[in-house]
Amino acid sequence: MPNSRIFGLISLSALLAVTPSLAHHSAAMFDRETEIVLAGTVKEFQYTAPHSWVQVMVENEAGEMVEWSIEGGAPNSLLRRGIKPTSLSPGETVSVRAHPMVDGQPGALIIDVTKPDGSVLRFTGGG
Amino acid sequence: MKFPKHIVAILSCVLISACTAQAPPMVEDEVQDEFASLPDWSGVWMGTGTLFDQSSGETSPNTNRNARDFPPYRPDWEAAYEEFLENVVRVGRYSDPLSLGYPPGMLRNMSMPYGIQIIVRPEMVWVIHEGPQVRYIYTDGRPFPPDDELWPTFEGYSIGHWEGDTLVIETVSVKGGIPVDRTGLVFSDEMRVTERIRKPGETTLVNEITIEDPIALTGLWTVIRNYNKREEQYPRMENVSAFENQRNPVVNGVTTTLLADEIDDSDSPYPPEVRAFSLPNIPAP
Repeated sequence: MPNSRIFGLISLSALLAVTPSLAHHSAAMFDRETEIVLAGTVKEFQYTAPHSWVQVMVENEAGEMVEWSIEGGAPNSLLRRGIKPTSLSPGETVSVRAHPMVDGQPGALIIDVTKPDGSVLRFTGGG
Repeated sequence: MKFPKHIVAILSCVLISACTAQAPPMVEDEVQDEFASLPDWSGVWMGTGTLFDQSSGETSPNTNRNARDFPPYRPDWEAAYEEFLENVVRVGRYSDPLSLGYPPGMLRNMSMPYGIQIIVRPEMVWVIHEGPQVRYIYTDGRPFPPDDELWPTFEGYSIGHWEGDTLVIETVSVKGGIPVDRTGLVFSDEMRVTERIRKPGETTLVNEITIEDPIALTGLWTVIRNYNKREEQYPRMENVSAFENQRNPVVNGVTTTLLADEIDDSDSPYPPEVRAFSLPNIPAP
């Protein structure tokens, strides 16, 4: 696995869509046509409704650790996919596929998580 | 006047016997008979698909501009729907009332990929939805209440009757403007819904939904919703609380995400060691 950096990006359209953001929140949110892959360490798995959140510490290009907030479904849907509160633990090294926020902030909509043993937690799709 | 004790005892026995032999057991028997005539819809059922009308096979207007429903809208409603969809595509996010704490409402409570349970009794049927929301469907033969006792609500008012193994439900008085799926499909306060629910297979429920709305539609619109029975040994229902961890406040009319360093949990009632988040102030959509 590559080092703790954002190693996946991006389509050209996503590059064009990412604009500097001075506002606290921009109007746009997740870019569902773009996938990124985040490699980092789980800080916390918030197994909550109406959304779960995987908080992941990821090292950026400047070598700083950034906390990403990655949104997933509610516990009712996660449990039916076999994803339990204990499926992710703080300190675990993971690779997360997600749709990034369009404004470039460290937030994303989760697709799946690959754990150190190679197993994959599929938060969306047919899995 | 004083009766001998044995007379009192005999009279008491007679009275008790008379009371216990009265109507209740017969009513109970009748109820049991009616129960026996009703179908078994026990279990947890999952709605399929995320669009109200699943016939298009699309799943989300966020990624596919073609993902929409095709009701026989009047031109002004069609134009408003198109404008809404353009907006969803433009901002990349649908500020879903469900994510903001509103109940799914009728008809979304019958059209989401969430778990539902249908409790069938002779006089009434309940649809329990993980939304969470409960629908009350009166099957005791009552008519709709008079107009001055009806007002628009998220659930509306439902009465039903059985035609063989098919439950036929009529619903009126639903609050207009509640999206029935993630495309933002809405109807007016004048919507009247007829559902015909049956169980063609052991693990399948089918709901044929016909919508009449003289304000929004030019004619009747019928769609089919399917529900699959959860087949694990111990299926469970989990309510989706909208406020347990609400990090999608609305800013300028659009849902946004609160990031970790933006969450102010200083007024949280919980001590820091168990405080994962706070509840931001969420304006109405």
